[in-house]
Amino acid sequence: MTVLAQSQASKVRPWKLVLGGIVVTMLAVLAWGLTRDPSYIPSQLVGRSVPAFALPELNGKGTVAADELRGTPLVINFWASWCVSCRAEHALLTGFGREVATRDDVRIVGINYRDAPAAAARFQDELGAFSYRSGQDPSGRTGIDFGVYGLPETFFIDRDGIVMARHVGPLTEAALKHNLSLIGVTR
Amino acid sequence: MRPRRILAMVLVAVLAVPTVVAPVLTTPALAQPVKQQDAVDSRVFAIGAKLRCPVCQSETILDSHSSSAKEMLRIVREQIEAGRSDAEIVGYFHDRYGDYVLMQPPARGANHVLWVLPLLILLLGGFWLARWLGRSRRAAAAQAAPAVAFTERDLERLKL
Repeated sequence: MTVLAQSQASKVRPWKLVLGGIVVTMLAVLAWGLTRDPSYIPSQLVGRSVPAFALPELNGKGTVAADELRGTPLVINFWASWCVSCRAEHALLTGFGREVATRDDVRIVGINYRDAPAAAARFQDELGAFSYRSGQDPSGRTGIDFGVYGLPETFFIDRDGIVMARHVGPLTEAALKHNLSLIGVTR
Repeated sequence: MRPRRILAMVLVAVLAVPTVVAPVLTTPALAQPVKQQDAVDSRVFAIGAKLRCPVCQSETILDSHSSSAKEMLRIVREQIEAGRSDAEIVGYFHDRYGDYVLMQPPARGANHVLWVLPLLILLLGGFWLARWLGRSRRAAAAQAAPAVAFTERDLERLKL
């Protein structure tokens, strides 16, 4: 009896170890996967030139165009009245917009994405007007050019027109400061 | 064949069915409405079935009812009408959204894991199943054989 027990205990099955190792590794990878946001899409635009756009301004006067914005570090914020988390960053953006108006080393524009001017106006009536211009992108085509998938999204473009960073979700003071530093703007 | 082995084979066959049937069921051919489609429409369907809707969860832009997906389909149609090739149109979206936008991730780089892993799991599973069946068969055989042979003396003693 003791001899039998010993022979069973000493039987090491290498394939069992290998299989066990693979299963444990896979479980670890899958567990790590659960901590990630499945809807997050990495930006294809970072490191590339900002897509060309020329959009009618939300107030009906003039155009917001990529060409006229060249030469100065630029922040582009995609927003919409239907976007709930855009409300969270609104105060920060309007505050930053007022600050930008006083300096000439950075600019900011909004792009009103898949929205109607009337709804956008109500949004601003409720939360306060933006302190900078917004272009209208009702079809979302400009958004597609930027690879936009979930609002709000904010792009940081350097003076040469290269997209240096994209922030998905409501902007925070820290994220704004960090991303501005990537386009050579100190705040 | 032993019933257990037959059972195991049936089990494997049943488990394998979805891997064969799923791609067939999700091909654009079946997703198309019954009415006659012209050449442009069938290309829109074919390309739309390859592209993943960026605002949905694993849905093609053809299946999705989101306005973003509908706009992407409109772009596909416009580009077909402008004479662009399927590869150019898929490339247009791939340029903007990366591999995410492709329903079938291209087999390159780290993506190889996606393609190799299921095969690896199948092979390891088959290996494990074979071992398990072999061992249970040996155990059954061992059980059937008498553990201790009777000696002549035992037989003598049994004779009453």
